[in-house]
Amino acid sequence: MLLKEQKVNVQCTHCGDAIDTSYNKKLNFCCQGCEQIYHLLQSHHLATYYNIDKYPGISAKGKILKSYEFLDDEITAEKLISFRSKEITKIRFNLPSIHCSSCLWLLENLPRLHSGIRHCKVNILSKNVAIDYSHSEISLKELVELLAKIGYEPELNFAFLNEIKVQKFDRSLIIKIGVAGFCFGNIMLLSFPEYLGLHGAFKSYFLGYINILLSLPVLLYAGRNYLVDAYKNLVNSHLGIHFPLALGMLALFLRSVYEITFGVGEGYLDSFSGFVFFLLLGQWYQNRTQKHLNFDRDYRSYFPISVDVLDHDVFKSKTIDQVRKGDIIRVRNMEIIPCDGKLLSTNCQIDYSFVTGESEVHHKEKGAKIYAGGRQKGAAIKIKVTRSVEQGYLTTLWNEQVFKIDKSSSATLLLDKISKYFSLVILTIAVLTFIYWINKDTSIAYTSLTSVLIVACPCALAISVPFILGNAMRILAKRKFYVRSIHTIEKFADIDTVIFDKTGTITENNGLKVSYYGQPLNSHDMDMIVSLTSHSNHPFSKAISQHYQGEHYQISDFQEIPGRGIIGRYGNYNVRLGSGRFIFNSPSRDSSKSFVEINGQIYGYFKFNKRLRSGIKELIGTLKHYKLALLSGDGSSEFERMQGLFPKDAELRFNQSPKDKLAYIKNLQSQGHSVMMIGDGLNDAGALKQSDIGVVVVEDNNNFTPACDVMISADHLFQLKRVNRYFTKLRHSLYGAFVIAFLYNVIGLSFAVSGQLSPIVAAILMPLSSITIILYSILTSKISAFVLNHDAYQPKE
Amino acid sequence: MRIILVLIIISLLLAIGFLTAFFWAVNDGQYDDDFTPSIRILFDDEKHPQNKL
Repeated sequence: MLLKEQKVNVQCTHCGDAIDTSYNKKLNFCCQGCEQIYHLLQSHHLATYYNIDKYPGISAKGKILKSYEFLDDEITAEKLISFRSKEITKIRFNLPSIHCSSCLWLLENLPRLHSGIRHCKVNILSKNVAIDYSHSEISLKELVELLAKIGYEPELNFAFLNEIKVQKFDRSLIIKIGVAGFCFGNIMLLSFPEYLGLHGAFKSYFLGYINILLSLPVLLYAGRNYLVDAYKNLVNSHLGIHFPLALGMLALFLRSVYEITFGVGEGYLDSFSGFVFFLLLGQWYQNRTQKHLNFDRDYRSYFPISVDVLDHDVFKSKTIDQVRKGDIIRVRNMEIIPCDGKLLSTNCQIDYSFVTGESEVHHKEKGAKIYAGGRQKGAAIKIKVTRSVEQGYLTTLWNEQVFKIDKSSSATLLLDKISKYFSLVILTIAVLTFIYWINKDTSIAYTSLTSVLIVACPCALAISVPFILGNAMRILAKRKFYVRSIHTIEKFADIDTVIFDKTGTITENNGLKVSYYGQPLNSHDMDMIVSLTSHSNHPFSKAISQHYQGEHYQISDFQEIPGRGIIGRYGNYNVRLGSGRFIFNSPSRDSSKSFVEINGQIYGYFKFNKRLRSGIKELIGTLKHYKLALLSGDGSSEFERMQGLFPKDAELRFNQSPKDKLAYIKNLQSQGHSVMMIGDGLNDAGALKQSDIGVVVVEDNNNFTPACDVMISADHLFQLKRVNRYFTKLRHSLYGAFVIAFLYNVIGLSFAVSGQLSPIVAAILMPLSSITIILYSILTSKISAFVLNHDAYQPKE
Repeated sequence: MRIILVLIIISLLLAIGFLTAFFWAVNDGQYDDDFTPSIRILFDDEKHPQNKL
């Protein structure tokens, strides 16, 4: 009975999808859309597109070209473009479908496709393109339509209306590194006579003064942030890592200036500038990895930018922030409903799967309340708006307090914890030494004070953390595990509770598992059922057609009653398939079942379950020593299956609204638990934000993801446990780095105490310690990564 | 030997020249995207590029 679909090996020239035999021509395309794009490019001599990467195209199958009428509206356009002169307009788009070097080639050769486009520059990692075009030759709308036509549909959503247009890349850090590096190198060069013991030369050529001049930009510009942060720390009486760093920097600088001006010594300005240089380098390394991923999206990125609004009997495209209560809007097939409202059309089907996590399509009758966030399926519908976008049922979730706190700023780093005590100890030692000497010998008092501050400066410590954790982030990103920041990695160790969402997290978003229960069906019956379901687009029908295959019969009198079932006739057979309400005419029973009735006789039913993600069972098995829980927006129809998956003490909650989920996590946290929430949809957004670590499961990178701390590719979810072990290892390597840093400090201190901290020793010791730490950090984070490849030994149950 | 001082100043000026060039490069956006150019450089120039329409 279970005939798998025959695999076709011919692939579409454009997108590489397997070709359906019904659409097959000489040049092998899967659909008309792909073929059109191919010919368009061909006719503009852009066929090189197909030679760079294999099957670079984005499948045009089932794509409907949207209406971009709203782009003709000046006010809307104004918000999108970044610059406009008399002839040229500059604009930047996010194109989520950019994925390969062919994309880069084609998009940068857009001027060949339309002469109005002057220049295009693509950034592959951020998936955006900057376009200069002549607005007299091509309008914004036409430009967007052209992009959409060739498969690169720009991301135009509600968020664009509220945010700053282009996130500018912060260039100041790179400039600071340049300045610090420049000064570091030149100061070392000028200190060379000193290293060689030519003290006379150093003094007679004012090299010391040139060094002071060169180190000023390091202190005042490159290292400014450390000083400012240290000052803030002092004001807030919360001593972070920047405090002892700034103290060390200042001590180094002031002592050097003193030594040079009074001719006592030569100072340590080379160490000083080198130390700032390495610190900045660490900061850059840490920020480098994830800058192209957006971890801060909210509902605005999910909602469309515009909707058709009835204006004097004509539908006009308007941006959704202009939609007011009482307006009548039109929502087309596959569009997202932007505001809460009342249905004016006779009926409709809405897929709320992303909002509620509920898998089935909702059927609504005229006059029913429609909530924003659902995806409309079928013919266009009209809705009377009852609440504007910001006041919607779903969007008010974002008014919760938790969304107003910037999580990343409140994180307490391990480093900060240590440095709090560290700073106090250093300060005490320094002050005690100073007091001890001040009455005996003032100059020794100052020298020893600065020596303590210099030598105890946690420079190596501060470098090790960004290098170890930054490198770890990079290693994880290669395994499709994207961490927002190094703070997140540090928080992992404290997690004691893991909460799962069901739909989309434990189960797959697409694909239903079909099983039949009841009187056995013979192959003739089965063929009839499949022939019937092949006429319908309902997910259940599709699942049946996909799962069973057989001969296709000619079905007559086909009828689909939305939300209920389908009827058809083959020869003498009357086949009915549908919900309990449809077949038995009784109030709805289980919504995950579809009953079969042939010629009035009920045979049995098909049951539809979302498929479990592969490896999820094993994953939950490995998380045994955590407190586990399940929060699902679905009804409890899958209670038993979930019970089998989770350990006995795990709490399983169903029918949870987005706010319930948030409250549940808040409650756990108030009991002192540290919570990791694993979810996927908008309905988890509150919970993800509230939790200590919000993990979002991403099916493909183009999809919307709510704000979170970690993004993990769905097929890599099983790695979670390994990643956690990796983080434990990283913690150990951090301690190792602390030991090395401490050793260097002790060596330095012993030199200083015995009065032997000569410039050459300092000049060697400082870069040496930094480089050892960097090498150590990169090596250990790489070596520990081996735990990502294997599961640990699992004791038998 | 005072000439050394002059040489030092010249060398510093030269170095500052390079630093300025670096500032220009950063502000020009050359450091904004450190991945795409590595791919862009691999494209061959086509033999008969189509004239702009």
